[in-house]
Amino acid sequence: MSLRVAEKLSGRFRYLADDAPKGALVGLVLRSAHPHARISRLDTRAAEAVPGVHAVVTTADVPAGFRFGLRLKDQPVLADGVVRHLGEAVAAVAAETMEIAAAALAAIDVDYEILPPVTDPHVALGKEAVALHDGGNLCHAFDYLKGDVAVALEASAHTVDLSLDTPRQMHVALELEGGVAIPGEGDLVLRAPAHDPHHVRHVLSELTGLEEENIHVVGSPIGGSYGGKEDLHVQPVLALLGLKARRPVRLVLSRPEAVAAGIKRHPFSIRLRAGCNADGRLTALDFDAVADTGAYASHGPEVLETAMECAPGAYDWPSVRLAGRLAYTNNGISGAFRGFGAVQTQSALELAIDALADKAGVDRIAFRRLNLAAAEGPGPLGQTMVPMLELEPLGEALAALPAVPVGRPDERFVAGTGVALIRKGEGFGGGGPNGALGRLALGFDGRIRLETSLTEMGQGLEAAALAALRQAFGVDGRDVGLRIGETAVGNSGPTSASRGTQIAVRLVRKGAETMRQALGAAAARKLGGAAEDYISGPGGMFRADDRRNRPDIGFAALAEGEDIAVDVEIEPIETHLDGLACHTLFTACAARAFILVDRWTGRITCTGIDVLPACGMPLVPAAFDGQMAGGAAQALGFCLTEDLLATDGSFAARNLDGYFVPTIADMPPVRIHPLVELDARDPVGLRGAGEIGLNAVAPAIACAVRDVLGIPPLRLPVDPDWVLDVLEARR
Amino acid sequence: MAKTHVKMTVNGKEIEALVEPRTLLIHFIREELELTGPHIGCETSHCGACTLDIDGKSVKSCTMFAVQANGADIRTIEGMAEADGTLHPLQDAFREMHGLQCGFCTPGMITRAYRLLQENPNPSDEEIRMGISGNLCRCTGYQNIVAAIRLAAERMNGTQNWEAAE
Repeated sequence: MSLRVAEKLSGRFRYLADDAPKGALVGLVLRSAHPHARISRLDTRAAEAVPGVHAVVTTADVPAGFRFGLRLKDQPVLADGVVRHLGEAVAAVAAETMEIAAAALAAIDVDYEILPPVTDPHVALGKEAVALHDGGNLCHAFDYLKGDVAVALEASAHTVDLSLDTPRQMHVALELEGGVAIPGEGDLVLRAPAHDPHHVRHVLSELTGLEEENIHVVGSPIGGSYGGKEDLHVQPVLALLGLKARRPVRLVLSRPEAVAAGIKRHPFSIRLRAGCNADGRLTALDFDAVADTGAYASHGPEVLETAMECAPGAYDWPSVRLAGRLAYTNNGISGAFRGFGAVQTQSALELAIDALADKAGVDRIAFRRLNLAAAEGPGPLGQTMVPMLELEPLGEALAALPAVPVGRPDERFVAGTGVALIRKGEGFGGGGPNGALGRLALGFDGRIRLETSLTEMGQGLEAAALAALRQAFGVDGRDVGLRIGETAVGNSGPTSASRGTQIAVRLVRKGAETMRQALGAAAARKLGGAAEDYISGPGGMFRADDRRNRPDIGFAALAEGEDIAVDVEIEPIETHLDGLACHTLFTACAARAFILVDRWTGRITCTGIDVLPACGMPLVPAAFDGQMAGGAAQALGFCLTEDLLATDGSFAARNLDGYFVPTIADMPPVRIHPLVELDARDPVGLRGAGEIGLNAVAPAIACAVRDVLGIPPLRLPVDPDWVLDVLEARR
Repeated sequence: MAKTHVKMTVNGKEIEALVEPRTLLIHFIREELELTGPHIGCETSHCGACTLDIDGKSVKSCTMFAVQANGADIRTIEGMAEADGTLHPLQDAFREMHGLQCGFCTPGMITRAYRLLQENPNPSDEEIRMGISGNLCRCTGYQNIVAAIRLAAERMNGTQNWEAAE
């Protein structure tokens, strides 16, 4: 348990945006009230003249043509002549008080020439559509073909044809996007939640012209993200304000600002056809998806790639056609969200699997097991992969789960059950930043610490890394420490794609042997003898042949005058398949969900969830369980309650009164049945827990809805009125 | 704007201040008193991150003006541990049962759970669930929070099964 947890519990901990220097200016952003408009005039002179205003910034303060982005650099820091989404930042001010800042915003004169918004992603991709970017509205495309799908479907004994639309889900981290910029003489400190401090620093360097070594970014810890803070949020505007005002600036979004301008989950519009033989063997999958990335790409291309790679699921298909399109529209911005495109396609696919199983007259779990992809690969896109040996054990475990009472089906409530079995790529596919640098060091405080730029966002990375350090060196909690989440330490890549905790633990394990030798050598220098005469233990170094309770030298004394440190590097694993991005490493998970459908209201209550993750032995079991339960709650929201509806590019909710994050009253008990022993042939031996529970639970709930209604839902979250219509029609 | 003189007790300490009539209590607590434990998540009373204990009631302090707290006895998360730093049984239980992940909802959640256990020292799981249903947590899926509150209740009543803790 880290010190930080004790601070969080006692209320003493200050999250990054709360830790501002005394007298920091207040930053506020002027945002567009229009989803699509041309800025015909922008005059900030009156705002600059307001007493107490120290900086006003617009696109004039940004290098000409500057854009940022994760792969596609298409997003301006401040609107550059055109606004493409509701809430797009147009200008920003830094002032002595909130009242002055608000008055200055009101004094900014903007004329908008309103343009018709492009809101339907299918229409956006048509020839007639207005192009939102120079290259048109097709942000990214993904195609894959194996075999002749049309012929195979024609020859299939059973086929299904299914459509599914998925929600624009909001992350709703309770910590709003915000941060603090502290400019110095030719340098800048920027404290704001981030998944990848080195990436933030790189962008800020390009934006401000400061050398990277003169920018220090702190991105950890984060008060919740789930992907929503993966892209830069307030950092560019904060940097501009801080440098122009030459004073520290604090900027924190309001919830309505975050709802309007924050990153969302990509809505997907899916159409798939699939077939199987009379004996229940899958024959062909034909899968089309159109995803709405909104105004800018953000993580959209990677989301689409992961979505399509996961579209065939955990199954073996003799023929497959995948076609994914990512469209620019004026519907906000979509980007990374836990589950990362895959949860959308997996939900559709698992619904189709159930439909085929029913048509073939095969038990739904047995049908899945019959069709599992080969453990040794190839992967879903024909790629070579790390053997995925857990699918069959999970299928077996799913079949062996005890039946559990599912509430109280009666005249009013009708019960249903759904299962899902999925796999998802871990880390980045196709040349993403999979490698990591880190360092093990003995500090003068007598703690063996891990240094990594990976960040803590509640996923338990700190606890897992500390546990790994204790294990690796046989020491106590007081002997270990961390320096994480900032650019002062080596670049460990993004804390993303379920890789963070896994990478942190691997950095510790990989460097441990060399570090033990370095500790032994230091002890030998101080006490005589050879390095191998000493082993680390609670409090310090012990003579290997002498089992006394007290160390021969304490760690703090050992560190004196020494520089005991080991640099660690994890080599990237990459795959490309004829230029197609794909993963090598996969994680498997199964889930079961119970629901009750209220015949009177059409409302669906989830009454129980089982999660069966295959991630290996968790280092901190309660933290691991928390990842599964938290993912299950977000999956429940995805299926039953959460959607930020958009009309003409404007959202139906401004705050949490019109957008329903599951409360505890919505959440059933979640039972977690981890598969802790990965196959001995598994070379990685540990999988990230961040996403996989969500990926499995959402399709399980969707399948439970189909179990009750007999037809798959056409859209998620399931609309109670649609449920009533289906029940009515069935009567 | 004219300021109003207010007096209140916060975590056992007498406070006097001049506040603007439109200042929300949560802003006063965080910015004037520099107690940043209670958080702001929505400012519309939906998330519960700003929950304080005021005169024996749980209050979402974004729904109240600072002037309305004149004369009130307020406890924030910072006042939950003892003066020597010993954590409240709820704080200990949240730690042991991993009732927090990012920790942002935790101050409000614990402050709410504190009042729940004052009102109902031995709640059933269902009563715990209803009791904290006004506080959102986006990380945990709530399971470990319920377990933590149950454990704290058992300890505070002296009825706990110690083996349940680890």
